[in-house]
Amino acid sequence: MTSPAHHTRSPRRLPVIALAALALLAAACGAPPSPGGWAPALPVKVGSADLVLVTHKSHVYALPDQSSNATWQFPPKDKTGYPVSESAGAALNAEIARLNLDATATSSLKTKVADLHVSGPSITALKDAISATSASDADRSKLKSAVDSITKFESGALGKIQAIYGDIGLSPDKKTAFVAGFKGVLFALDTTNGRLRWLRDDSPDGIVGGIATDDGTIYYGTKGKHVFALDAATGVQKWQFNTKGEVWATPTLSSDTVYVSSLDGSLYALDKSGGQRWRFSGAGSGVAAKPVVSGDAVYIGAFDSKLYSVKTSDGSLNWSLKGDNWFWATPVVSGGTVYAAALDGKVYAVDVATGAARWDRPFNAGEAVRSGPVIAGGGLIVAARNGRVFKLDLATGKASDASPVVLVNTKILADLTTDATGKTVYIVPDSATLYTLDAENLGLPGNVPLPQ
Amino acid sequence: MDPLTILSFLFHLIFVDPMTNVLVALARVFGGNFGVAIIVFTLVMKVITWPLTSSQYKQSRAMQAIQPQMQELQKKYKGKDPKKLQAETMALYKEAGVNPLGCIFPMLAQFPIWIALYQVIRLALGGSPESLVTLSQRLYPLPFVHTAVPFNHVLLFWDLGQSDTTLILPILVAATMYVQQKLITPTPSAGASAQSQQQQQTAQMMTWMMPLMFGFWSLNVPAGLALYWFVSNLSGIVLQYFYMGRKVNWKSMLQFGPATAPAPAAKIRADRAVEEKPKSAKEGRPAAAESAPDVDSEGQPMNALLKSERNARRKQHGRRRGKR
Repeated sequence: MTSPAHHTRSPRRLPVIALAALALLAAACGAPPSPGGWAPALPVKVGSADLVLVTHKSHVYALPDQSSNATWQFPPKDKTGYPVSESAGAALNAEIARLNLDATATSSLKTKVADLHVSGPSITALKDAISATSASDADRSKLKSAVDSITKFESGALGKIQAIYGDIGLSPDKKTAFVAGFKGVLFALDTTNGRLRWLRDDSPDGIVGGIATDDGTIYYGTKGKHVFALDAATGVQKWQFNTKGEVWATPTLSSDTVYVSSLDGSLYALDKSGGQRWRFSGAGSGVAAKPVVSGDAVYIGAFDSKLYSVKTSDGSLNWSLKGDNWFWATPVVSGGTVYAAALDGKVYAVDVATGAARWDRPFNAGEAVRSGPVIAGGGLIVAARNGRVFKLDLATGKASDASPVVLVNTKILADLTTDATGKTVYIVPDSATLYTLDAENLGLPGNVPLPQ
Repeated sequence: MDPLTILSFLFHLIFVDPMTNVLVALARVFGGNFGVAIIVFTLVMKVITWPLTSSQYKQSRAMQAIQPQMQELQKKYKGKDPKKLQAETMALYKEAGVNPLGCIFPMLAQFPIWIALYQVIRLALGGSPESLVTLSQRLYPLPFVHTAVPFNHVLLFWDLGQSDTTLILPILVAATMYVQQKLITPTPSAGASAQSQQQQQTAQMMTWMMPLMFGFWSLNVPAGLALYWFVSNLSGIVLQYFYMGRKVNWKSMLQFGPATAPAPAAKIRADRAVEEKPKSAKEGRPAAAESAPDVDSEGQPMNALLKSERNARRKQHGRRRGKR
C-alpha cells in the first residue's frame, strides 16, 4: 500500500522527475552533428602509380586503384606526431645558417631538424643540440623559441582540420596536393609520400570550398568573406579580395579570370592579381555552388532555387531557370546542354543559349541531390542524397534499366568524379568508403573501405 | 516503419518544421539576423503560453496558501489514519482548486518547444554544410522562407550556433531562472511540521538546482537556445512582477536557505482554524476554504488576485452546497 506521506510528497518530487526527463531528452538530442565533409575523390597519377586521393573527416588517403591499402595518409598514423612541414624545416635551417656555427655543429643541427616532428622527443633532442652549440645565449634562446613556436603551431593547426568539403587542388606537375580544412587550415602535401610541404591557418575563418590551382598560385575563398591567392610553393599570400558574403564554393579558373560565388548572392569575376572585373549580384539568395564556365557563359546555382547563366564578358544575365529548391550541385555542360541537379531531387537539362528545357520533364530522383553529376559511359550519372545512383539518357533524361544502384545506409553529398578514362565513377559517401562504379553497365559498385 | 520513426516524423511535422519556418521567416523579416528572430519568437511563445504560465503562477500561490491546512492535516492524521490523510489532502486540493500537477504541466508543455528549438538551431546555425542541406528539406515551398538563407548567426558577441564560451549567457540564464524560481517558490517557514519542512526544502532546493542545471546546459547547447531561455526567463519575471501586483520582496532573492524566523501569523491562524472552526463538509477535516489565512507562510499579505479567486471559488462552493 502506498503511504500517504508518499502521496503528499509526490507533487514536490515531480519537478525533479520532470528535470530528469528533460535531461534524458536533452541527452537523446545529442550534440550537434560534427561536420563530416564531402570532398570529391581526386584521381592522380604520381610517377607510375595511379592513386585516388580521398578524404574522410579530417584525413586524406592516397589509395592505389581499387585498394584500401593506402600508399600514405595524412595526418599519419604515427602516434609520436608527424614531421614538421618542409617550409618550417627550411625556416629553421635558415636560422641555423645565420648562427655562423662550424660545419659539424651546423650539420648536426640540420640532421635534427630533418627528424623534427610536431610533438615527441625529437623536439627535446633538437633543443639539447642547440644548447650544446657555441652560439650566444640570445641566439640559442631565439632558435629554441622558433622550434617551440613552429612545432606548437603545426601541431595545433592540424588538430583543427575537422572535415574537408572542397575540391582537393593539384599542382600542374601533380607533385603537390592542396587541401582545405573546414576550420580554416589549409595544407600542401607531397603526393608521393604525403609529407607536409606547408600549412596555413586561416581560423577562425572556416573553409567550405576547395582549392583552384594554376601555375604557381592557388586560389580559395573562406567563410570570413575573403578570397586568397597564395604562392603554391610556399603558401605565402599574394593577394586578398574581400567579398560581401561567405565563400562556400571552390573558385573556378578560366583563362585569366577567377570566378568566385558567394553567399551574398553574387558571382565575382576577378583578374589574377585580385582586381574585380565585374560582379553579378542578381541572385535572390546565397550562391554556394561552384561556377562552371563554358564558352562565353558562366553557370551558377543559387539558394533562391534558380540556375543562372551569366555572360563572361560583363556579368550580365543570359537567362535563369527556376527549380523547386536550392541549386547547390555543380552543374555539367556538354553538347550545348547544361545539366543541373537541385535539392528538390530533380535534374534539369536546358539549352546553354536559351535556358529552354531539353527534356520533356526534369528527371526526379525522389531525394535531394547535392552531388554534382558527371557524364560518363555515355550517360549522366546522378547520385541522390539517399544513396541511389542513376544513369540518365543525355537526350531524354530517362533512367537506364540498370538504375538505380543503391548504396545502402549511405548519404551521398560529394560531387561525383571519374577516372582518366571516364569509365569509372568515384563516389564518396559519408561512410568511410570509396565506391567505384562502372559507368557503362553500372552493376555492383566496387567497395573500398578507407583505413581506420 | 518502427514506432520511433513515426514518433520522430510526427514530432518534426508538429513542432520542428513549423518552428523552423517561423524562425526562418522572422529572420528574413529582421534582416537575416537569427538572434533577433529568436528573441521575437520567444516573446511570441510567451504570449501563446501565457494561459499555461498564469495557471502555473495560480497553482503555485494556491499551493502556498493551503500549506497551514496541510500541516494541520498531517499533524492530525500522520501515523494514525494514513487513508484518511490521503483522502483529506486530496479533498483540500480540490476545494482550494489546487492541482498537484498544475505547477509541472506548464514546464512539461515547454519540453517539446525546447527540443524543437534545439533542433532548429542545429539545422539553421549549426554551421555544418550538411545541416543546411537538411534545412532545405524542412522549409515550406514559400519563396519568402526559401530565399532567407544565409543567416546572420551572430548577436552581439555570441555565435548562436555555437555554445557560449564567454560564460555570459549561462550566467544570465542561471540568474534569471533563480529569480523566477524564487518568485514562484514559497519561502519555508520554521514553524512548519517536519513533513512540510521537508517538502518546502525540496521546493527550495529546486530554486537553486534549476538555475544550476540550466546554467550548465547553457554551457553546452548552442547559444541560440540559451538566448531563448534567458529571454523567456526575463519576460517571465516581468510578467510575474505585474501578475503579483508589483508586490515582490526583492530582498528575499538573497535568502538562500530556509527561513530562520517563524511565521507566527500563518501558524496561529491555521491552529485557530483547527481548534475553533466547526467541521465543515466532512467531519474531521478543517474547512480549508474558510480557514485559509489572508497571509502567506511568511506572514506576508496574499496577493489580491489570489484572494479574489478564492472568494469566487468560495461562493461557487457555497452555491453548490446550497443546491445540495
